[in-house]
Amino acid sequence: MEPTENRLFDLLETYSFAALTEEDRLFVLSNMTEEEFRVQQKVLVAADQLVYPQAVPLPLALPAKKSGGLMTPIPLYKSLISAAAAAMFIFFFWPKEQEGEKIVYLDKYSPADTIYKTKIVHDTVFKEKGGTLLAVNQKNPDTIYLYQENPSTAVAPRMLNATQSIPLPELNQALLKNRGKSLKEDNHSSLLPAISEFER
Amino acid sequence: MTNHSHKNHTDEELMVQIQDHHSHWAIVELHARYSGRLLGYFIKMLNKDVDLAQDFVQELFLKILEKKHLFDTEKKFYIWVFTIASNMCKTAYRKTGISQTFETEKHDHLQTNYSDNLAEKELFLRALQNSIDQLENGQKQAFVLRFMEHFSLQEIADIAETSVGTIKSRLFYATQKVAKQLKDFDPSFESTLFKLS
Repeated sequence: MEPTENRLFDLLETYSFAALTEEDRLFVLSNMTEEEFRVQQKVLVAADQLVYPQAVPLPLALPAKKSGGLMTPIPLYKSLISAAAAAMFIFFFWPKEQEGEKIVYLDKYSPADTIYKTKIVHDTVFKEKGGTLLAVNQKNPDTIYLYQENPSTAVAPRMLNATQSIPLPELNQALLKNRGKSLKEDNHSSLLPAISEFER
Repeated sequence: MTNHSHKNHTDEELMVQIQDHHSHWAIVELHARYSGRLLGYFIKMLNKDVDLAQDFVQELFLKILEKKHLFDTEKKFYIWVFTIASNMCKTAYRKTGISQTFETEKHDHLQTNYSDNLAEKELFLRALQNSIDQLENGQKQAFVLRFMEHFSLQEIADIAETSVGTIKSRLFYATQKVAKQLKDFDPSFESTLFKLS
């Protein structure tokens, strides 16, 4: 059995009082007056005519994505992929010595005190075509020559250019006079071993 | 994916996108579809507080993102979203007692003496609005959804997570309560201003 209020609501929503059947009218009048029924119906109809403030919804403001931070756990496969990527990056992009560049030492014996460095750059190759020279390509230097000036023509070291700073006496007859004795005259020669012992 | 293809998705398909891929475009599309209607619902439920209603719409879509795993893709999205909206209103009623706001205003208007039918109608509509605002949350929710948002009884029952019988009962008592507050109005003008079927 449907509750009374549910049946009354169905009638309120569906029919005007005049359109009710005799049975329904008696049912309504057993619960309310005709005027109450009309006022309630008026409420239902008028509710749709109520005016509320009109507004435009604000744009959706979504929260920013949470940053990871140092404490965020990283899966093992991600760290392995990162390490592999770093290794490949270093392998492919690390600066290398240019191929074809050589250093030639022309004099490896001389002590290096002055080195002149000359770089010969082969940057443009010309090719003759139809009587004219055409620049074919440009290259990086392929050879660097290092050579040293001959020591015999090198500038004298500074130490040899120094003037004498210790005073020495001039050489004369007195200084050159022989002041010693010959072995024959020397009395101590007997103390020396005989020469024959050395000859053996 | 283009805007055109977004519009071809159903609400439920968009929710699947949000659930599986946290798709930004899907929540934006749902916001475009429902924000206006939800804003209107909140304005009615929150006694015409537009700023609060705007906040509630924003909060509701954040809740959709947070609770996306709770959505059953076999059910209708709009039922779910209005259920969330109704629960938010219920919480607001509990916290702030919004329904008491217009009590004094009502009596001021009722004491004003209008002579012609048009003024009488305006006065009646204001009194009606104030009476609806004073309904308790469950009755007001059912009343607004049925007679202003035009949901079916079954849809309202799903939104309120109750039976159709309970909704009918709430609607009857809500109507009765509002009508009692409007009994001072002369019902004679209904025939010219409110066409009853």
